Amino acid sequence: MLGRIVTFYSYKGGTGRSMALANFAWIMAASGKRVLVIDWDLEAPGLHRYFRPFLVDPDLLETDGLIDMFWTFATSAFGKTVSGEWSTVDQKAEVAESLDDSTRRLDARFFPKNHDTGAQQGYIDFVGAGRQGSTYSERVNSFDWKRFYELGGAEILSEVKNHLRDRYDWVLIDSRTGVSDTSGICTMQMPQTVVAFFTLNRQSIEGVAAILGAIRSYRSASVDGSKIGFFPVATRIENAEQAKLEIARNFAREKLKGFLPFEMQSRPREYWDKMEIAYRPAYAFEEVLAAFGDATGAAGASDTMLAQVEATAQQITGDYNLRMPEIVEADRQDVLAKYAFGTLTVALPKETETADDTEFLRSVRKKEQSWRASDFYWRRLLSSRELDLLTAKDKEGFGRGMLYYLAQSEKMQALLKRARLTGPLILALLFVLSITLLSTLKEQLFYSPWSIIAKPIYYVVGFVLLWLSSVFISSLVASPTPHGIRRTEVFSLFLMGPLHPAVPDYNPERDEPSASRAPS
Amino acid sequence: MRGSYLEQFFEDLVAIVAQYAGVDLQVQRIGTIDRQVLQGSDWDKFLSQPLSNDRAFIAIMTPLYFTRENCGKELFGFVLRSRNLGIDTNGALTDVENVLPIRWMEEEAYYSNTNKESTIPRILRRINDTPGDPGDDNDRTEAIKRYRKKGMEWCVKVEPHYTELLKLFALRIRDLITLPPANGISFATLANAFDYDWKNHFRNQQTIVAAQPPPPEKVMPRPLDSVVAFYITNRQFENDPSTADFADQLIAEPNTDAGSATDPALGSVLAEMRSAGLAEGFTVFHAAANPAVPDNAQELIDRLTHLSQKRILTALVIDSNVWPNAPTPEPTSVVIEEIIRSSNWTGPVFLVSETNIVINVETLMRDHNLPSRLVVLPLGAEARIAIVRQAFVDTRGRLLTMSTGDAPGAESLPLLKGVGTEV
Repeated sequence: MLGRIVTFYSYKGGTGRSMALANFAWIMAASGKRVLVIDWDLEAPGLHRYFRPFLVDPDLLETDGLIDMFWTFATSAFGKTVSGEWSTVDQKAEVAESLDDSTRRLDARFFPKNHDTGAQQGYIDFVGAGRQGSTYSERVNSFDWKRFYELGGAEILSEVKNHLRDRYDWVLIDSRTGVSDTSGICTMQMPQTVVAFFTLNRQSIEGVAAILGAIRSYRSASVDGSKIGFFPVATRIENAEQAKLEIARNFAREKLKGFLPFEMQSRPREYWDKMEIAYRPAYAFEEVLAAFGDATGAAGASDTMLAQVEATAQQITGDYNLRMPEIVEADRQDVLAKYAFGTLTVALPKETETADDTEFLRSVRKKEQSWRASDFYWRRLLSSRELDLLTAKDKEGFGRGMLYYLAQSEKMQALLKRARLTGPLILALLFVLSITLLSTLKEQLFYSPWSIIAKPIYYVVGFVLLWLSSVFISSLVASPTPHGIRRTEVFSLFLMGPLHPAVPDYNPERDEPSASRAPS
Repeated sequence: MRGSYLEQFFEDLVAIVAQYAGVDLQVQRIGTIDRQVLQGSDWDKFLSQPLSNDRAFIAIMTPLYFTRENCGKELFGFVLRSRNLGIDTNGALTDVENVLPIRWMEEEAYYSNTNKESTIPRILRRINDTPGDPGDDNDRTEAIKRYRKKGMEWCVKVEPHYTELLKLFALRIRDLITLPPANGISFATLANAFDYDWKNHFRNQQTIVAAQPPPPEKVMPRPLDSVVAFYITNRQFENDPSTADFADQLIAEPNTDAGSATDPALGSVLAEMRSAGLAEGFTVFHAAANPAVPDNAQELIDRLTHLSQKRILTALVIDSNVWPNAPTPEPTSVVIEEIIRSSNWTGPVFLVSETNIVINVETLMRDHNLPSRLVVLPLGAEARIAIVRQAFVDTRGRLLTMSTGDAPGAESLPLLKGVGTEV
């Protein structure tokens, strides 16, 4: 299936656009998607800051990026259009190669989509704005976009689009603000979806409404006429001035009501509940991914940045099971230190007594992700041994996602216990019943030679049917069942009774992200 | 921080080599990188010890590597440990042991003029810089291909190529023989391998006869991607043996195959122009008119104009001793000023000042009625490279904007309409 190109746009700066994009990318990669993020805000690049701990060259001093790629494209377009004599290279291959040149994969491990089929592993590839340094601004400002298009730039970009949609599930573009040259390319030509950020003031709201209108009319007039989806998001919401907030909110909702996804237009309340991101001063000072910025303790309730970026991602993808993966506190602190100090490795004091405990907690969290990534396969829940090992203190450190996982695991254990008892019980009851029946109906049953052969067959068939249906009924009424388990699975568990397989313990081979291959 | 890819590579290579050798890095340190001389350590010993005792020498080949004295000294110290070291008739060292060169940069970085790979110095020509490929694993073949094309820096952390390459390097290091340690090496007294008189060193030995290497593959300038710099100088230089139709002659750099007789001051300008180009992704060609200080303006203007029309970047590099500081200015200055004044070609004019005489560009332009394309290159490589880079990028931008000719059926740039426009 072809991937989706999503542009994150805001009319004015400072709306938290890059932050939302970075978090969205993280969530998608964590759920096993191949993600590409492109920093197209050439005049004020900054997306790389969110990925600092995961880049070899966090300041992009030695890494090519988008603008370097576009200069290669210009050369290629030029060779083809103007001075044909030097054009020997196939454009398709050249596009692929220059993309390759400036793409860097983040050094972070995510979980494969499906362990049983060995399907794809999620990752984030990153295209920065360009090699930073003294000539960066010159490189950006001397690029003549108009001329590039006259040389056949649109054709190259559509080649880029095809290439990217082929290679990635999600391509996320951090667009330039306002009505500049590049914001037109980012919002009108490239995407299938535009996520538009605005703050609750008149300029921002009217700006974004006008832009969305312009995109829509451009797309309906252009040749391919393909549909484009919009997702407006209100950001920097502060609850201090309640009355004014209400007025601005209503104004925004009225202005943008035509731009909500079609199925949401009849229930705007439900849409907007998920598409507001509150103002959080802590995030204004430092570019940190919400997965690391917010502690995921039980206190990390629904109004954290983490919860809000999750909600936004759920709305955009339509997948309401998306979650930011939870991490062990020690690991979170490690990453936070890297945010602060760049690549400098900070030697944190390691408490040796608790190292095993931390390892255990890490494995429990890995299991949670593996459960999520395997479409909630019940054998990825916690085993009874693991449930026993978790202390009350461990559970205090769990966020919503982990608590949910814990609850599901407990339900699973209860279900297994019931299945273990129910199967044999039904069997015993049926046995007693049939013995009684046989002894009372003996006379009528065996009155002719014919029935001596036929009746036992009827009897056995009847017995099996009765057994199956009672197991089926008992599995139907069995509740509560953990999320994601299928009725057929419950049924087979009940059928097998004590013979059913247990929930296995953590197994690094199955529950780990496929590590870069170790030397053999 | 610059050099972060290099540091990452070093760390990862050390880790994987340790793994193969069964060394616990917590207990025993292996590998030395020469950028990390610790404060308070004996720096000479820090550098000499590994040169005399370590198993392998990894040369990270960048174009700058061959110009650095310290790099040459390190190489010299290690190379002398090879047991049957010799030299062939092409000037390449033979039987070098345990030196593993790594191509750090993309293949364009090793170009000089129209020749591929000619910046790699003569003495290293016989050492293979690419891991062997038995061809039984597609991933490995692909990784080696990328390594050749884009260099090791690009491959750092790009999976699966990175792991594949690290593995190949580590296996190679593991399988090297152990060389006897050298005694009494002191880094300070070592010679620079790149300008050492190797012929003389091996004068009592038989020189191995080697076949003339085949002429290297040729590269040609591409629009918006290459710079042809014309040098107006009366310094001595050696011709690049290859010829091209875009210039009367090509100048060879001193550190490449041919240019041993090129004047060192001119040589450093050539190297700086090439480095500046490389930093911005340009291939630089060093050209000159014949004679290098032209007596006729029109010919050179025609050359420059032709290149500009092809949208190939051009630059004029003038030795300030030829103009404007020549003791006898006429008639050269008339010719040169005519070339500078010509608006038919696009590109900067660099004035190379070798002395402390200050050149005031503003007065110069005003007095001689010249357009504002003069740039003075001050002393010092870094300052020069920064200025040249800026000028190159600027020229490329102008060439793109000035270009004419549209692609058939080209769409126009989509522009967002703001508030207040009719939709």
